Amino acid sequence: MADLNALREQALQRIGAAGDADALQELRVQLLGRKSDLIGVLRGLGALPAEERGPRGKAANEVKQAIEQGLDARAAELDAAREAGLAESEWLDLTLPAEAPPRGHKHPITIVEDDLDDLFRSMGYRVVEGPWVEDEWHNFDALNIPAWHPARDSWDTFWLNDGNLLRTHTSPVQIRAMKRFGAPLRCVLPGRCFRNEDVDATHEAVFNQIEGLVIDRDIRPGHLFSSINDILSVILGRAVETRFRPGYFPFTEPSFECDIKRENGKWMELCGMGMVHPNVLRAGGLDPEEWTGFAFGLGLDRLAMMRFGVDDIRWFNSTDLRFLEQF
Amino acid sequence: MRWSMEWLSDFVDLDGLDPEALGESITLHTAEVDEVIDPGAAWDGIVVGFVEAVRPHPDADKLRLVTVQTGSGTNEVVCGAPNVAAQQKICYAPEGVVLPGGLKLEKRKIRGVESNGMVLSERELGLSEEHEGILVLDTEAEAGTPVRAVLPGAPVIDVDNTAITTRPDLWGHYGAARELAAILDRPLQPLDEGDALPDDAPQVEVVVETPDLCPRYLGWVIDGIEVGPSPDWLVRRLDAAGQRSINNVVDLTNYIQLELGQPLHAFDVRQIRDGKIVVRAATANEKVTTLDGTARSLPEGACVIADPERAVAIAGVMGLENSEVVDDTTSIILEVANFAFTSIRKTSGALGLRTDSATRFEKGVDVEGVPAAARRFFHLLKQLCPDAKPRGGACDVRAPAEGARVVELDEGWIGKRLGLDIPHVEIDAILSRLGFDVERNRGKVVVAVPSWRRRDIAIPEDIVEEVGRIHGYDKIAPEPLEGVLEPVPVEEGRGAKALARQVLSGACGLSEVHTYPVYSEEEARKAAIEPTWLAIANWEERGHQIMASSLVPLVLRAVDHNLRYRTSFGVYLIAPTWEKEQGGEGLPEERTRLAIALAAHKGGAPIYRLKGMLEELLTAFEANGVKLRQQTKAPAWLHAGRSGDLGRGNQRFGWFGELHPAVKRALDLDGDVAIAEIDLEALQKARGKGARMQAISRFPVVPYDVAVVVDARTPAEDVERTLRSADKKLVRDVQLFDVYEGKNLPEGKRSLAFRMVFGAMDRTLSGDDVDRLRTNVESAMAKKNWDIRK
Repeated sequence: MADLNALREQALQRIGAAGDADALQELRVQLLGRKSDLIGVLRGLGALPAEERGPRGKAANEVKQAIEQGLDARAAELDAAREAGLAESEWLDLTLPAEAPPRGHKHPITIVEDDLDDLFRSMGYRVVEGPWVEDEWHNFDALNIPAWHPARDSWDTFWLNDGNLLRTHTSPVQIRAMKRFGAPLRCVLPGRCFRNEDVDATHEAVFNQIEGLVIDRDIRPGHLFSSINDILSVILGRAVETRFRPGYFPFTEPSFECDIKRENGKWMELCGMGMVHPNVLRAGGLDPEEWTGFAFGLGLDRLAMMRFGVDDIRWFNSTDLRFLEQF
Repeated sequence: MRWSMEWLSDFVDLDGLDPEALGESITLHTAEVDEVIDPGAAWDGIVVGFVEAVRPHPDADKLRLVTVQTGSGTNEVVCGAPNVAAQQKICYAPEGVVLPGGLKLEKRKIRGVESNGMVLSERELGLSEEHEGILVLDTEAEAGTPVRAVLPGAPVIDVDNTAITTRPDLWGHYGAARELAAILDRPLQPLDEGDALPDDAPQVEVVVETPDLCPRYLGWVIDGIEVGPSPDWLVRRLDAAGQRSINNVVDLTNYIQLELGQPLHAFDVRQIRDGKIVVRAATANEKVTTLDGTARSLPEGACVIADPERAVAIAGVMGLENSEVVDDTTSIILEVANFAFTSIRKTSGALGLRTDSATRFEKGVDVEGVPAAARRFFHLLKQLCPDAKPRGGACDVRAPAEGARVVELDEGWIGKRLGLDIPHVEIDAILSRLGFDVERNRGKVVVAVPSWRRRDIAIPEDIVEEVGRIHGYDKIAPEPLEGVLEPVPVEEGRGAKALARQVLSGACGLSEVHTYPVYSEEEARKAAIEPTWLAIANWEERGHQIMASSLVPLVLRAVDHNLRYRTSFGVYLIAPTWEKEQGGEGLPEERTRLAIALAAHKGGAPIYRLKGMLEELLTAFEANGVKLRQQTKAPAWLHAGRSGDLGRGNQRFGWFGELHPAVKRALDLDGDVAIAEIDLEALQKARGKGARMQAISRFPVVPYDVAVVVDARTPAEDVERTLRSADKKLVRDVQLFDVYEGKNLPEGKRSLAFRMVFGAMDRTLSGDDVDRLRTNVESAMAKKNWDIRK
């Protein structure tokens, strides 16, 4: 029995002296491997007399367990000792530039439009698009702007050589939506618009609008005001104070302008709107005796400028990645 | 339009109203106010000063030392005004005061003499541009009285012109006063029109040849005219309204225009041959010289005022030099007329001559307002020219009057439309203050529209607006929408665009650009794109701009722009294109396409990155069977050896490849550019039903690497397909992992190394299975005469 005790003492001593994981691994082989003394003892058990075999085997297994525990404990000690010094031993300079994953960018107008898309769909509005190249009837006549109407001058129109035009607003899509879906109807009409006017920091010849149109029985201005309050609160991300005042648009009657109160207490004009003019309902194939509605328009460029702090509307069509990659 | 509060006060009591608050009311009830101009509001601290003495400045000829008494003491001021004199009462701003322009006065030395405060000119007071000398007050007020109490504060309310474009009545102070009377519920004073027009025979003959261009023309000869400067009140009011004084007669015509919105014109009688006015259409290429001394050629269809021999005015736009009122004019023919607004708009537009008169006529001036304007003119003229007297009656030629316009609506309908419970009396009172006559009769409300509102009131909804805005929109409570909520499907085209953006701005890391959907012929030519027929007809500054039939020139515009700042990037553009003339309904076909462009440094081979992105896109669209196929007959903008299409059988969805060297050269682009253009609408139609799960084997797989030596021009895709054909079921995957050309290989050959994966769905492959598969691969290669590299 004495040799087993000595074996254990000697083994544990060597384990305690092992300085690193490699030495420990080598020891594990020496102490518990096929050629180790302990395995030799265990192998030799068969040659012993039956009455000695049991106690001797038990003792040998106890030694084996002790060695295994000793190895594991020493391994844990070594790990802990090494990891306690990680800050020094494995320091990496994390201020080196990152390996950036590829990141694409939607156009800022798309970002704003997508958010509005979600917002309006959540309120039961369809999102409907129409053609950029429009005919005069949809762009003007159907919207209660006959040829003689002075308001035609206030839309500086790009005319095409085939007699059509580039739509000056998204309103012609109102007519298309009414004809396509009938009433009742809730829809928003986002899209590109065009005006032949001088371009500067706040005016673009090619810009983006979103219009809303709701048609149902007995729609009143109160419905419009409530909807606008909700929509603006979501868009601007805060409860907004609004006021509604008279406006003029040929396609709505009555017409309103909506102002919002800014942080400085001053009112700022934000969007135009009104109750759909009976002539417009008729052009959309609806009976104004039966149906009433409201429509409103928002400038997407303006919203994007407010949201992202863009100082010049011309950035949107610039194709400049130094701008686009900021969003 | 500038409304002077002083002028408005002639007709409606504005006492106790703060100009800003009044402006706010107008904004809330009628039309947006651009600005309330109230110089007096900035006069805090400025007081009446009494000039005790004026002495020369010791060191400057043009400066003088002025002793100003302010009641609480005297101050010495250095002053450069030539008109300063002792005993004057002037406006004095002591040190510390902030002038209307924002300047804060501080004590300072001028040419060595200390100056305390300032004696002010009209400009420094914010009253006018006058800065020749100081403003001398004609007042009994004591020195030290605040100037605000002495000077007429003359606030002006500047109303946004576009907001009153359908309200010709608001282009005159009387109409504006009527509007304010309605808003404020204060009485409107009647206009003093003076005597009725005399019944005597007219001493001018008016012939209207074109009644459709001129519904009414009143001519009236007035003698006893003495042309001279206008009195102060007239100059001041014109100035408040933004009009310069010319002489008393012209000023008075302008005054009536600013008061009643009715433009007037005065001709010198001596210049009108035979005392006859002819209203006619311009003759072909008729040439005239207008009052402003400019020779002009009249546009076709213009309406002209003439005598029997020559034109004397462009109707409603501007008079001519040949007949204007001059210093020695003693008799005039007064013109008070009405012209068709469309014709005036066209003529003034064609001439580029936007006069105050044309601005009013093109809005549709009240035909019935003509006699009142003539009477009011004569009434006020007598103050300016005491000897003025009519020579005969007025010759008033008019088209038959249109009957009064009546709008009928159901009782209760206005309140219902507004969602407001407004008592009948209130509705009637509002309408009556605005000049409407209201009758209620057996459940109907009959509203007679006054002649000056004929232009903008025609239907019941217009009446709703009148009542609503005067009553106040703030009284309408917001109420949530009610209705059936139905599912809102995403429109197909929108869904396709959203998906493409998600892939390209997401996994592909590209940036979306917007650009104008047009290009010049030169841009098209450089991009090797054939320009189509469709172009913008009236973009003068940019010349001939063609509607994009291809997105290639547009996306190259973005590449060109950004190459200025960086060498490696990727952009995409989603936009409509117009390629075919007929898309139905008389519109050209509009197809939404997608263009992608990748720029890289030379040798960066962005084409394979592009290919990866397109594969990603096809995966996202679940476009079953649509493949990227190498092609040699690509469009001219693509490199013939490095291009392909996205196709399925005979169907083609788009093109991709490296940009053709000629295009790169034309655009002077450095580096490598890969580009693709895809018909997004067609791709949307090819979309599959969505992902379905594929069964995954639970059994181990066996990898097997094989390198095949083939002709350098043999497409890797062919080799891969052949390897797959070794066993349709058990070959689970084939991936190319190496391409080698060079040493140890014959000229014109290359080695393609593939990792194949063998496996079965229902068992672990046996050694025999694997041996058979290897044999199959070998025989498939042998059949193609491809060597397996050992």
